[in-house]
Amino acid sequence: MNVMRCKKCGGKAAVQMKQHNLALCREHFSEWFVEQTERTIHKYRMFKRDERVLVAVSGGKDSLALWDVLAKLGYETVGLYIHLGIEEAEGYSDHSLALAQAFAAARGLRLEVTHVPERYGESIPQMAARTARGRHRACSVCGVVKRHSMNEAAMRLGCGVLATGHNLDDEAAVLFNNTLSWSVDMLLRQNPVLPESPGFPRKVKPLCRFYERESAAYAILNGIEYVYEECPHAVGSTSLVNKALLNQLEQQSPGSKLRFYSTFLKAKAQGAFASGAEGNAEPPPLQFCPSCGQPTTTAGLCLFCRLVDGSAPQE
Amino acid sequence: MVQYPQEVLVAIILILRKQEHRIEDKKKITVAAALARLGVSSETHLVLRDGELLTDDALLRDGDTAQLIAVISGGRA
Repeated sequence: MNVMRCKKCGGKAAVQMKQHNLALCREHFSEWFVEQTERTIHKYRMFKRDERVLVAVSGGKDSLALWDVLAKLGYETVGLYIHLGIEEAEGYSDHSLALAQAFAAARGLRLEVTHVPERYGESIPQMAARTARGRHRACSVCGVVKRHSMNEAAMRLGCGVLATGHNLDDEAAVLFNNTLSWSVDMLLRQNPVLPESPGFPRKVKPLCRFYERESAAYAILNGIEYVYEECPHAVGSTSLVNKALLNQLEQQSPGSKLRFYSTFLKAKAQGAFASGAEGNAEPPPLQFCPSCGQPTTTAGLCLFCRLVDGSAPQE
Repeated sequence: MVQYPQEVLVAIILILRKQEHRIEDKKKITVAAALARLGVSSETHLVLRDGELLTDDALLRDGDTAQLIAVISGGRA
């Protein structure tokens, strides 16, 4: 039986990417992954060499792979770990923090930590249990806290760019969800790059064209220790259900996920979801929260401040 | 020495989420076939043997132990 061979050197392949009709060995896969990341950065004009990039790291494969690649490419980076206070699954937050710290220390990279329970007096599970928003979906509260913490850190650390480890599976799952409900306003906002605005850094997703299995393969092949366990609060989440459906499709028809996402971006660039169309109003103008100073679409306290000061709905 | 039933010539251990699964066959089987026997997909799992990632067509031999790594994470808001 023939063994799959690396397309570059003819050695034994380590990773097959059916959607690209490509198989590569350990060494050439890692090289390809770094090159492709840089191509994506350039293609979408994410950031330049003289910009300082805040990399949001969770201790998972995607964010640590991203940080590793950006450091290899010579970009100036600062890592940000947000400790969510999740104690389930054998101390999930402590474990993932330890992995992020070990990663940074081994490479001489700077890691900043925002400790949510120490700073705001409550962990994400506690905040979720207290509020109507989070009662049955901790991920929703978690998202609000993470977005606030990332913006705050970017401004404080002088980083004009915030990079996250979202991969193509993440993007396709969100796209699938928004397409099911034809949330045109959400579809309009889904981009590899969200431009900066007063109080917000530019937000970029340099791994958005990689399948999730590729970022995992990169992490493993490059000796990156990451947290294998799923966040205990993500079990049964809509995003996992959508990913499972899309992967069934991918299994039957390789390249489906890539086509779904890349043709969406192309259609949008051609005006398929034109801003200002009927029922698709421009977003409301931003104001600044009187407490934290971050931009918000609502008058008065922003959603994050209402969450932490207890004025968000409790029931 | 492990005694196999007469028709079993190949026994493989697959480790998934800290649980061991024993796969038996009359001949060496591919990674893809072994994953199918467990009902998991190579879209969502990587297979690691002795520190090396295996592609779908790689053959698993008698006595092999391979780790399956689930690659899908979720819950981002």
